[in-house]
Amino acid sequence: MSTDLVLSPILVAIVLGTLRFFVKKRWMNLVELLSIASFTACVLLFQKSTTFVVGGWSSAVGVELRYDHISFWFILSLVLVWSSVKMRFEKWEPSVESMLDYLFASMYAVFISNDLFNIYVTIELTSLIAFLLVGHGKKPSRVWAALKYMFLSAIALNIYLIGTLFVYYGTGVLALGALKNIKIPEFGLALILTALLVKSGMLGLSAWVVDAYSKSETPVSMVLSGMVVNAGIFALIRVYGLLPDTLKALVFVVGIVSAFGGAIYAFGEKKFERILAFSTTSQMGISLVVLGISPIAAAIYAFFHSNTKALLFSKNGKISTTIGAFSLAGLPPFAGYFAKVILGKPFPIVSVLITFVTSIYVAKLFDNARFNWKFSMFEIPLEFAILSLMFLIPFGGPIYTVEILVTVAIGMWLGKKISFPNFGDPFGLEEGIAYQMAFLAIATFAVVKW
Amino acid sequence: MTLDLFLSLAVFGIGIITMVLKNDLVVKLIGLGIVETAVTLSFVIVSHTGPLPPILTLPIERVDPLPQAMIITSIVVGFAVLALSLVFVVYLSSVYHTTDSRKLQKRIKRDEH
Repeated sequence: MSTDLVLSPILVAIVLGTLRFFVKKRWMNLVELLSIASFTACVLLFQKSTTFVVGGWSSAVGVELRYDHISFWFILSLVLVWSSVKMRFEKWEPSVESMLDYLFASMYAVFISNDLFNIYVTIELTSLIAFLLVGHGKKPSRVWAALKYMFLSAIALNIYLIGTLFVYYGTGVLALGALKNIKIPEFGLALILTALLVKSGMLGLSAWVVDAYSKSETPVSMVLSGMVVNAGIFALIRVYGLLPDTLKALVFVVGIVSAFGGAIYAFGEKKFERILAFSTTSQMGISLVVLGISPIAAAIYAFFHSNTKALLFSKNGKISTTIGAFSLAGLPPFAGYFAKVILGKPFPIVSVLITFVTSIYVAKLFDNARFNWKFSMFEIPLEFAILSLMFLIPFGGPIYTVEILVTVAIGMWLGKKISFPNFGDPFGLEEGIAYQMAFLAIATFAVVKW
Repeated sequence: MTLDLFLSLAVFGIGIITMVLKNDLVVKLIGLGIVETAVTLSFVIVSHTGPLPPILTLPIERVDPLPQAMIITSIVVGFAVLALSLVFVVYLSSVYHTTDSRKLQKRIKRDEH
């Protein structure tokens, strides 16, 4: 019974998405929105943590699924971003609406999967729908961005498959619950780690991020930055416990490099979307650093990031841009502040530096925003989510608040005063493949004992 | 088995090198096809734990059925990716009359400004 409840949103989303092909009416959007959101809300409210195998097989053979508190945060951010995209009521053709439903189903399936091969299948499904959405609109620049995305992502997922194969070759199981107590071939884990870092939007490794996010349509950018990028980081959270110490250190290094590198590239940009795209690589890097503290902290960080970034990418008006920018910089009542507090307890210096570089490029967002005082319905779930962490997590203490306020003020002042040169864009297709291979070589070098 | 696995990884490397060094998008797609085939090949090699088919035989001398069940899924997924990217390449070449990736990037950048 309980397992049926966990799986029900997938079924509802697939059925309604298929129905949307045939019933080409606008009111169907409302039906999809209400039914999928209410089923997911039921899961989030009533479901306790479970691990189960579909079809009653043993976990050595069957597909193991798991719903726990990490899935909770990811599914919550998924349903909030997805329903706000649906609430825009875009004048799209019905096929795009049903693709959004399928995207919801596959993302939900990522967030409950606990099996290496199942993670591959669901992430690949998610990416396939994302390619179609990026290419939607048939402008050549969009199609080129989608093609680049496809090439890089396909290579990464093939590397992931080989890693899965090595893990299976060494252990004979693929369920993550069973893998915890077994010695796993470290080469396979290095391959899996490389692929998942590429999928979670690191600077350089996922070279498609800037093109795909800045050139696609506004709601598609919201979907990409709010939902699709979370798939990689979620899989990384699930796999992180299995990694040996050298690879954990490598994850930390990649996180720091991506956090600061993405911010530095964001300084030089002029366009609103490109600043936000580089900011995504920077924030995903920070969530990797947070992953070293605890998995649940990384989940909360991803929750904050996806809602904030979806709100900023919507480019709706002054209210949404201001709230999103303050949350991104980490000012106290918003979700970004609590995310920074989580980071600040073990790494105070890193947290202050990150807040500083973030607030420099956040100041640039206000330069670009020539919006009016407009407010739309679809902002409500995202703004509610950004403010909701206030009730869930106790305050981080007055001293820390002062530090963050001073840092943000100095950073924003600097960002207003100084203009940075453009650092160029060394993230083409061939370069992206080369970065992936170089990182693969580094990861292999880290695990192989000479 | 180790040598076979190593050779299939070498095929993987050939596909990657094709994708990096060749400028033509269709050749790049062929490189992606080689990569996917190499992955399939390595799965087949690892699953070969015995000479007999997995139906109605003893577990000792049969082929391991689980990697084969997995590789069918990934073949289908790889086919979908290849087909979709071929559609995108056809669209780009119908607009710009070329499949050279560098020329395409230059022209797309020029059209934007």
